[in-house]
Amino acid sequence: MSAAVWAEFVLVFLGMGFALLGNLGVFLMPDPYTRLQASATCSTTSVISVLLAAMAASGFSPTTGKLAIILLYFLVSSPVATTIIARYAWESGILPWRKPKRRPREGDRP
Amino acid sequence: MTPRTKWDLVRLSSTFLSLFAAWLLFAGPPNAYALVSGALASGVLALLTFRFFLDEHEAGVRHLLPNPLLLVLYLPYILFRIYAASFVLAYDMISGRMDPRVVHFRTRLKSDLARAVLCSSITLTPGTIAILIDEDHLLVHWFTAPSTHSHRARREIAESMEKLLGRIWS
Amino acid sequence: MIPWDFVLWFFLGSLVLGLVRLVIGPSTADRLVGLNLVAGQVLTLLVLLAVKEDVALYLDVALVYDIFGFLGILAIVKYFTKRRTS
Repeated sequence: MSAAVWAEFVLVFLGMGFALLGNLGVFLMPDPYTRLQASATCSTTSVISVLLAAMAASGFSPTTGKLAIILLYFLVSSPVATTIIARYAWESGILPWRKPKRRPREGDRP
Repeated sequence: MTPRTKWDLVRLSSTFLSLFAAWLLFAGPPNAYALVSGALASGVLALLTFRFFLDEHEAGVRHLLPNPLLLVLYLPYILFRIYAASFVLAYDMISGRMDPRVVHFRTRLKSDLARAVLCSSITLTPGTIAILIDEDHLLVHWFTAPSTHSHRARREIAESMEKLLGRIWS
Repeated sequence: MIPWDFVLWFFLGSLVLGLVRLVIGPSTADRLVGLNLVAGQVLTLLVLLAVKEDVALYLDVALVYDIFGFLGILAIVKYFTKRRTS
Protein backbone atom coordinates (compact mmCIF):
# COMPACT_ATOMS: atom_id res chain seq x y z
CA MET A 1 0.00 0.00 0.00
CA SER A 2 1.37 3.34 -1.00
CA ALA A 3 1.45 6.51 1.06
CA ALA A 4 -1.48 8.05 -0.84
CA VAL A 5 -3.76 5.12 0.02
CA TRP A 6 -2.78 5.35 3.68
CA ALA A 7 -3.48 9.09 3.64
CA GLU A 8 -6.89 8.40 2.09
CA PHE A 9 -7.73 5.85 4.76
CA VAL A 10 -6.72 8.13 7.62
CA LEU A 11 -8.50 11.18 6.18
CA VAL A 12 -11.75 9.34 5.41
CA PHE A 13 -11.70 7.80 8.86
CA LEU A 14 -11.14 11.24 10.45
CA GLY A 15 -13.95 12.68 8.33
CA MET A 16 -16.37 9.99 9.44
CA GLY A 17 -15.46 10.37 13.09
CA PHE A 18 -15.80 14.16 13.08
CA ALA A 19 -19.08 13.98 11.12
CA LEU A 20 -20.58 11.63 13.70
CA LEU A 21 -19.30 13.81 16.54
CA GLY A 22 -20.64 17.00 14.97
CA ASN A 23 -24.09 15.54 14.34
CA LEU A 24 -24.32 14.10 17.85
CA GLY A 25 -23.15 17.44 19.24
CA VAL A 26 -25.83 19.32 17.32
CA PHE A 27 -28.36 16.83 18.62
CA LEU A 28 -27.33 16.95 22.29
CA MET A 29 -26.03 20.46 23.06
CA PRO A 30 -28.19 22.83 25.11
CA ASP A 31 -28.39 26.13 23.15
CA PRO A 32 -27.90 27.51 19.60
CA TYR A 33 -24.37 28.76 20.20
CA THR A 34 -22.99 25.48 21.48
CA ARG A 35 -24.86 23.63 18.71
CA LEU A 36 -23.23 26.00 16.25
CA GLN A 37 -19.84 25.23 17.81
CA ALA A 38 -20.38 21.50 17.38
CA SER A 39 -21.74 21.76 13.85
CA ALA A 40 -19.40 24.42 12.52
CA THR A 41 -16.28 22.87 13.89
CA CYS A 42 -16.70 19.16 13.51
CA SER A 43 -18.61 19.20 10.25
CA THR A 44 -16.18 21.71 8.77
CA THR A 45 -13.29 19.46 9.73
CA SER A 46 -15.04 16.42 8.30
CA VAL A 47 -15.79 18.14 4.99
CA ILE A 48 -12.18 19.35 4.71
CA SER A 49 -10.93 15.83 5.51
CA VAL A 50 -13.15 14.22 2.88
CA LEU A 51 -12.13 16.80 0.28
CA LEU A 52 -8.44 16.19 1.02
CA ALA A 53 -9.04 12.43 0.85
CA ALA A 54 -10.76 12.81 -2.53
CA MET A 55 -7.83 14.90 -3.74
CA ALA A 56 -5.45 12.14 -2.65
CA ALA A 57 -7.64 9.50 -4.32
CA SER A 58 -7.92 11.21 -7.69
CA GLY A 59 -4.20 11.83 -8.03
CA PHE A 60 -2.84 14.54 -10.32
CA SER A 61 -5.71 15.35 -12.69
CA PRO A 62 -8.25 18.13 -13.49
CA THR A 63 -10.50 16.61 -10.83
CA THR A 64 -7.95 17.59 -8.19
CA GLY A 65 -8.02 21.18 -9.42
CA LYS A 66 -11.80 21.32 -9.18
CA LEU A 67 -11.64 19.82 -5.70
CA ALA A 68 -9.09 22.47 -4.72
CA ILE A 69 -11.47 25.21 -5.94
CA ILE A 70 -14.32 23.65 -3.95
CA LEU A 71 -12.07 23.46 -0.88
CA LEU A 72 -11.05 27.13 -1.21
CA TYR A 73 -14.66 28.21 -1.67
CA PHE A 74 -15.72 26.11 1.30
CA LEU A 75 -12.97 27.67 3.45
CA VAL A 76 -14.38 31.12 2.60
CA SER A 77 -18.12 30.43 2.74
CA SER A 78 -18.43 28.14 5.74
CA PRO A 79 -17.11 30.57 8.41
CA VAL A 80 -19.11 33.43 6.93
CA ALA A 81 -22.33 31.38 7.11
CA THR A 82 -21.50 30.39 10.70
CA THR A 83 -20.84 33.99 11.72
CA ILE A 84 -24.08 35.12 10.08
CA ILE A 85 -26.10 32.49 11.97
CA ALA A 86 -24.38 33.39 15.26
CA ARG A 87 -25.05 37.10 14.68
CA TYR A 88 -28.68 36.35 13.87
CA ALA A 89 -29.04 34.36 17.11
CA TRP A 90 -27.32 37.17 19.05
CA GLU A 91 -29.50 39.89 17.54
CA SER A 92 -32.73 37.97 18.09
CA GLY A 93 -31.88 38.04 21.79
CA ILE A 94 -30.95 34.43 22.56
CA LEU A 95 -28.72 34.38 25.62
CA PRO A 96 -25.81 31.92 25.68
CA TRP A 97 -26.09 28.89 27.93
CA ARG A 98 -23.87 29.05 31.02
CA LYS A 99 -22.53 26.16 32.99
CA PRO A 100 -24.70 25.94 36.11
CA LYS A 101 -22.88 26.70 39.35
CA ARG A 102 -22.31 23.66 41.54
CA ARG A 103 -24.49 23.70 44.64
CA PRO A 104 -22.64 23.21 47.94
CA ARG A 105 -23.23 19.73 49.29
CA GLU A 106 -23.32 18.29 52.82
CA GLY A 107 -19.69 17.37 53.24
CA ASP A 108 -18.19 20.49 51.62
CA ARG A 109 -15.87 22.71 53.57
CA PRO A 110 -17.12 26.28 53.75
CA MET B 1 -9.63 64.41 -14.03
CA THR B 2 -10.00 64.67 -10.30
CA PRO B 3 -8.32 62.20 -7.96
CA ARG B 4 -11.77 60.83 -7.09
CA THR B 5 -12.48 59.93 -10.72
CA LYS B 6 -9.08 58.27 -10.99
CA TRP B 7 -9.75 56.22 -7.86
CA ASP B 8 -13.16 55.23 -9.25
CA LEU B 9 -11.49 54.03 -12.45
CA VAL B 10 -8.96 52.00 -10.46
CA ARG B 11 -11.77 50.43 -8.44
CA LEU B 12 -13.75 49.65 -11.58
CA SER B 13 -10.83 48.05 -13.39
CA SER B 14 -9.69 45.98 -10.41
CA THR B 15 -13.26 44.70 -9.93
CA PHE B 16 -13.41 43.80 -13.60
CA LEU B 17 -10.05 42.02 -13.49
CA SER B 18 -10.96 39.90 -10.45
CA LEU B 19 -14.33 38.92 -11.93
CA PHE B 20 -12.72 38.01 -15.24
CA ALA B 21 -10.01 35.96 -13.53
CA ALA B 22 -12.68 34.00 -11.63
CA TRP B 23 -14.53 33.44 -14.93
CA LEU B 24 -11.40 32.12 -16.63
CA LEU B 25 -10.83 29.77 -13.71
CA PHE B 26 -14.28 28.22 -14.09
CA ALA B 27 -14.72 28.31 -17.86
CA GLY B 28 -12.09 25.67 -18.48
CA PRO B 29 -10.25 25.73 -21.86
CA PRO B 30 -10.91 29.21 -23.31
CA ASN B 31 -12.43 29.74 -26.75
CA ALA B 32 -13.58 32.97 -28.41
CA TYR B 33 -17.22 32.71 -27.34
CA ALA B 34 -16.32 32.07 -23.69
CA LEU B 35 -13.85 34.97 -23.65
CA VAL B 36 -16.24 37.52 -25.20
CA SER B 37 -19.29 36.57 -23.15
CA GLY B 38 -17.20 36.41 -19.97
CA ALA B 39 -15.73 39.86 -20.65
CA LEU B 40 -19.21 41.32 -21.29
CA ALA B 41 -20.72 39.75 -18.19
CA SER B 42 -17.87 40.82 -15.93
CA GLY B 43 -17.99 44.33 -17.41
CA VAL B 44 -21.67 44.73 -16.58
CA LEU B 45 -21.21 43.19 -13.12
CA ALA B 46 -18.20 45.42 -12.43
CA LEU B 47 -20.21 48.53 -13.37
CA LEU B 48 -22.97 47.43 -11.01
CA THR B 49 -20.87 46.37 -8.02
CA PHE B 50 -17.55 48.25 -7.96
CA ARG B 51 -18.88 50.55 -5.24
CA PHE B 52 -19.12 47.65 -2.78
CA PHE B 53 -16.13 45.63 -3.97
CA LEU B 54 -13.56 48.14 -2.74
CA ASP B 55 -14.63 50.53 -0.06
CA GLU B 56 -14.10 54.20 -0.83
CA HIS B 57 -11.74 54.91 2.06
CA GLU B 58 -9.60 51.78 1.52
CA ALA B 59 -6.99 53.61 -0.53
CA GLY B 60 -3.80 52.13 0.96
CA VAL B 61 -2.17 49.67 -1.41
CA ARG B 62 -0.64 47.58 1.38
CA HIS B 63 -4.10 47.22 2.93
CA LEU B 64 -5.41 45.48 -0.16
CA LEU B 65 -2.54 43.65 -1.82
CA PRO B 66 -1.25 40.77 0.31
CA ASN B 67 2.28 39.51 0.62
CA PRO B 68 1.90 36.50 -1.73
CA LEU B 69 4.50 34.19 -0.16
CA LEU B 70 3.09 34.56 3.35
CA LEU B 71 -0.46 34.24 2.00
CA VAL B 72 0.44 30.85 0.52
CA LEU B 73 1.96 29.88 3.86
CA TYR B 74 -1.18 30.95 5.72
CA LEU B 75 -3.33 28.15 4.23
CA PRO B 76 -1.37 25.17 5.63
CA TYR B 77 -1.02 27.05 8.90
CA ILE B 78 -4.79 27.51 9.27
CA LEU B 79 -5.39 23.87 8.25
CA PHE B 80 -2.98 22.77 10.97
CA ARG B 81 -4.77 24.99 13.48
CA ILE B 82 -8.16 23.54 12.45
CA TYR B 83 -7.03 19.96 12.96
CA ALA B 84 -5.25 20.62 16.25
CA ALA B 85 -8.23 22.47 17.68
CA SER B 86 -10.67 19.84 16.36
CA PHE B 87 -9.03 17.13 18.43
CA VAL B 88 -9.06 19.34 21.52
CA LEU B 89 -12.75 20.16 20.97
CA ALA B 90 -13.62 16.51 20.36
CA TYR B 91 -11.97 15.58 23.67
CA ASP B 92 -13.81 18.42 25.44
CA MET B 93 -17.16 17.37 24.00
CA ILE B 94 -16.72 13.70 24.89
CA SER B 95 -15.50 14.39 28.42
CA GLY B 96 -18.19 17.05 28.95
CA ARG B 97 -15.63 19.68 29.99
CA MET B 98 -17.54 22.65 28.56
CA ASP B 99 -17.86 26.15 29.97
CA PRO B 100 -19.08 28.45 27.18
CA ARG B 101 -18.67 32.20 27.60
CA VAL B 102 -18.88 35.27 25.38
CA VAL B 103 -15.68 37.32 25.44
CA HIS B 104 -14.89 40.69 23.90
CA PHE B 105 -11.55 42.00 22.70
CA ARG B 106 -10.07 44.42 20.21
CA THR B 107 -7.79 43.50 17.36
CA ARG B 108 -4.73 45.51 16.41
CA LEU B 109 -5.08 44.95 12.66
CA LYS B 110 -5.70 48.05 10.58
CA SER B 111 -6.82 46.75 7.18
CA ASP B 112 -10.48 45.78 6.65
CA LEU B 113 -9.53 42.73 4.60
CA ALA B 114 -7.18 41.44 7.28
CA ARG B 115 -9.91 41.94 9.89
CA ALA B 116 -12.38 39.94 7.79
CA VAL B 117 -9.84 37.15 7.35
CA LEU B 118 -9.13 37.19 11.09
CA CYS B 119 -12.87 36.89 11.80
CA SER B 120 -13.16 33.94 9.41
CA SER B 121 -10.10 32.27 10.88
CA ILE B 122 -11.45 32.61 14.41
CA THR B 123 -14.74 31.03 13.31
CA LEU B 124 -12.97 28.31 11.35
CA THR B 125 -10.84 27.33 14.33
CA PRO B 126 -12.92 24.90 16.38
CA GLY B 127 -13.92 26.08 19.83
CA THR B 128 -14.35 29.76 18.98
CA ILE B 129 -17.01 31.56 16.93
CA ALA B 130 -16.88 35.27 16.12
CA ILE B 131 -20.41 36.59 16.75
CA LEU B 132 -20.02 40.26 15.88
CA ILE B 133 -17.27 42.30 14.28
CA ASP B 134 -17.55 46.06 14.35
CA GLU B 135 -14.45 47.98 13.18
CA ASP B 136 -11.86 46.56 15.59
CA HIS B 137 -14.20 45.18 18.26
CA LEU B 138 -14.75 41.43 18.20
CA LEU B 139 -17.33 39.44 20.16
CA VAL B 140 -16.33 35.80 20.39
CA HIS B 141 -18.19 32.78 21.73
CA TRP B 142 -15.61 30.55 23.40
CA PHE B 143 -16.42 26.91 24.11
CA THR B 144 -14.02 26.28 27.00
CA ALA B 145 -13.27 29.68 28.44
CA PRO B 146 -10.77 29.73 31.32
CA SER B 147 -11.57 33.42 31.94
CA THR B 148 -13.47 36.29 30.35
CA HIS B 149 -10.58 38.72 30.69
CA SER B 150 -10.13 40.64 27.46
CA HIS B 151 -6.33 40.53 27.22
CA ARG B 152 -6.13 36.84 28.03
CA ALA B 153 -8.84 36.05 25.48
CA ARG B 154 -6.98 37.98 22.80
CA ARG B 155 -3.70 36.32 23.69
CA GLU B 156 -5.13 32.79 23.55
CA ILE B 157 -7.53 33.15 20.60
CA ALA B 158 -6.14 35.64 18.16
CA GLU B 159 -2.56 36.65 18.82
CA SER B 160 -0.69 34.10 16.70
CA MET B 161 -3.01 34.54 13.72
CA GLU B 162 -2.93 38.31 14.19
CA LYS B 163 0.87 38.40 13.96
CA LEU B 164 0.87 36.51 10.67
CA LEU B 165 -2.03 38.51 9.20
CA GLY B 166 -0.40 41.76 10.24
CA ARG B 167 2.60 40.78 8.13
CA ILE B 168 0.48 39.66 5.16
CA TRP B 169 -1.57 42.88 4.92
CA SER B 170 0.82 45.23 6.66
CA MET C 1 -9.19 0.03 -1.30
CA ILE C 2 -11.58 2.21 0.60
CA PRO C 3 -15.14 0.83 0.83
CA TRP C 4 -16.77 3.90 -0.76
CA ASP C 5 -20.26 2.34 -0.46
CA PHE C 6 -19.95 2.05 3.29
CA VAL C 7 -18.67 5.63 3.59
CA LEU C 8 -21.61 6.91 1.50
CA TRP C 9 -24.16 5.07 3.64
CA PHE C 10 -22.44 6.30 6.80
CA PHE C 11 -22.68 9.94 5.71
CA LEU C 12 -26.29 9.42 4.66
CA GLY C 13 -27.06 8.06 8.13
CA SER C 14 -25.30 10.89 9.94
CA LEU C 15 -27.15 13.41 7.72
CA VAL C 16 -30.43 12.14 9.19
CA LEU C 17 -29.31 13.30 12.65
CA GLY C 18 -28.82 16.80 11.26
CA LEU C 19 -32.25 16.63 9.62
CA VAL C 20 -33.80 15.79 13.00
CA ARG C 21 -32.36 19.01 14.42
CA LEU C 22 -33.65 20.88 11.37
CA VAL C 23 -37.18 19.61 12.05
CA ILE C 24 -37.42 19.86 15.85
CA GLY C 25 -35.26 22.96 16.46
CA PRO C 26 -37.15 25.21 18.84
CA SER C 27 -35.96 28.54 17.39
CA THR C 28 -35.09 29.76 13.91
CA ALA C 29 -31.39 29.85 14.77
CA ASP C 30 -31.48 26.14 15.64
CA ARG C 31 -33.08 25.31 12.32
CA LEU C 32 -30.43 27.35 10.52
CA VAL C 33 -27.71 25.40 12.33
CA GLY C 34 -29.32 22.17 11.13
CA LEU C 35 -29.56 23.54 7.59
CA ASN C 36 -25.89 24.52 7.58
CA LEU C 37 -24.93 21.05 8.79
CA VAL C 38 -27.09 19.27 6.20
CA ALA C 39 -25.66 21.47 3.42
CA GLY C 40 -22.11 20.49 4.41
CA GLN C 41 -22.98 16.79 4.48
CA VAL C 42 -24.69 16.91 1.08
CA LEU C 43 -21.54 18.53 -0.31
CA THR C 44 -19.57 15.62 1.16
CA LEU C 45 -21.96 13.10 -0.39
CA LEU C 46 -21.65 14.69 -3.84
CA VAL C 47 -17.85 14.73 -3.66
CA LEU C 48 -17.73 11.09 -2.53
CA LEU C 49 -20.11 10.07 -5.32
CA ALA C 50 -17.96 11.91 -7.87
CA VAL C 51 -14.83 10.10 -6.69
CA LYS C 52 -16.53 6.69 -6.46
CA GLU C 53 -18.17 6.76 -9.89
CA ASP C 54 -15.37 8.85 -11.42
CA VAL C 55 -17.81 11.41 -12.88
CA ALA C 56 -16.28 14.90 -12.74
CA LEU C 57 -19.66 16.49 -13.51
CA TYR C 58 -20.82 15.85 -9.95
CA LEU C 59 -18.08 18.20 -8.76
CA ASP C 60 -19.65 21.11 -10.65
CA VAL C 61 -22.97 20.18 -9.06
CA ALA C 62 -21.25 20.15 -5.66
CA LEU C 63 -19.75 23.61 -6.19
CA VAL C 64 -23.06 25.12 -7.33
CA TYR C 65 -24.86 23.41 -4.45
CA ASP C 66 -22.37 24.93 -2.00
CA ILE C 67 -22.79 28.42 -3.49
CA PHE C 68 -26.58 28.21 -3.42
CA GLY C 69 -26.66 26.75 0.09
CA PHE C 70 -24.65 29.76 1.28
CA LEU C 71 -26.91 32.20 -0.59
CA GLY C 72 -29.97 30.45 0.82
CA ILE C 73 -28.78 30.86 4.41
CA LEU C 74 -28.00 34.52 3.65
CA ALA C 75 -31.47 35.09 2.20
CA ILE C 76 -33.26 33.35 5.09
CA VAL C 77 -31.35 35.39 7.68
CA LYS C 78 -32.05 38.63 5.79
CA TYR C 79 -35.75 37.81 5.53
CA PHE C 80 -36.21 37.04 9.21
CA THR C 81 -34.18 40.07 10.33
CA LYS C 82 -36.46 42.40 8.31
CA ARG C 83 -39.49 40.59 9.70
CA ARG C 84 -38.40 41.18 13.27
CA THR C 85 -37.69 44.92 13.02
CA SER C 86 -40.78 45.93 11.06
